[in-house]
Amino acid sequence: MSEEFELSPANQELEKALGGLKPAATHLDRDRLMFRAGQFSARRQPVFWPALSGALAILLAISWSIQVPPNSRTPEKSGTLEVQFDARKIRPAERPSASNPWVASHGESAPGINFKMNGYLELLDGVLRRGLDGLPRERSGNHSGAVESWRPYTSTTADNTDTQM
Amino acid sequence: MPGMEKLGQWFESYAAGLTLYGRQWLETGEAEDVVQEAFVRLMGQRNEPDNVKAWLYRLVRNEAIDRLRRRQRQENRAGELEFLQSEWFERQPTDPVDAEAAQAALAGLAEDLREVVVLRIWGQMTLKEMGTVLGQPVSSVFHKYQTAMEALRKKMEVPCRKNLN
Repeated sequence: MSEEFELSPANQELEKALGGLKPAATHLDRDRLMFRAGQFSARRQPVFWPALSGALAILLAISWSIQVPPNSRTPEKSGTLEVQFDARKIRPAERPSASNPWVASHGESAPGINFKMNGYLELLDGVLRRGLDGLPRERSGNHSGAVESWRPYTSTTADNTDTQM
Repeated sequence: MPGMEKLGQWFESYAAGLTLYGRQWLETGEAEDVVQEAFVRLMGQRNEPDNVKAWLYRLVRNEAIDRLRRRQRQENRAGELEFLQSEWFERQPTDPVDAEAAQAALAGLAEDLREVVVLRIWGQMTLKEMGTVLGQPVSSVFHKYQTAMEALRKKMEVPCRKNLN
């Protein structure tokens, strides 16, 4: 105690005398206390690591559920790109015109893309849509070859045949 | 977290003084419960407090006052008789002062004055540590201590036995 906080000699003597008194023994059981303290610390200690590992396990499970395996993701994109169009609406004779800005800048066709419609595609489209009725009925002067020369069987044809027979 | 060996040392050093301190507000058994809880909670600390003794005394003080307030609401100071009758000090022939007289004189002090005497003499605390426990500046603590010692000296100069009767 510094001089500023100095007791009077009489009080110092009393302080010393009182200090000679020993507090009554506590009935606290030292062993029981140590056991309880040990229990408490043992219960408290493993809280952090199990909590951390649990949180990591949950994160891992979530990340697995979110992650899409590469094999399941690619088929949609790696498949062929199917473009459906109505071939009849594209006139075979129609050629890209210079009035089209894209054609004007790139020419008639883009590299690797050929939109030229020929008779075969027109014929194929007709067959796919209308079956055999889609085939041309008469030989046309504009067309030649095996496909055009073939005549489909029709009821009219059959009747004519029967009549002739 | 403090080790069990340290806990044993602290228990040996502080348990009796802490129990005496807790008795300022509580019955002996309840004060011992509070002291035990304080040691158990000390073991639950992640880091050892800077001043273990001051930490323990402060904890015992807060808990004891809380329990006293709860009890007062229920019993309206019914425990006061037990407070005066239980023995605070071990009686030995070599005691420099009569233990019973000292107890009676202490019991006659105001609570805040008695508290500083117990902290200083049986808690063996510096004024700074007392200030930490009480949350008061050192000068205030010293002033209280000085006042308390003056009052004790006056009480103990006259026969104290009649105070108990």
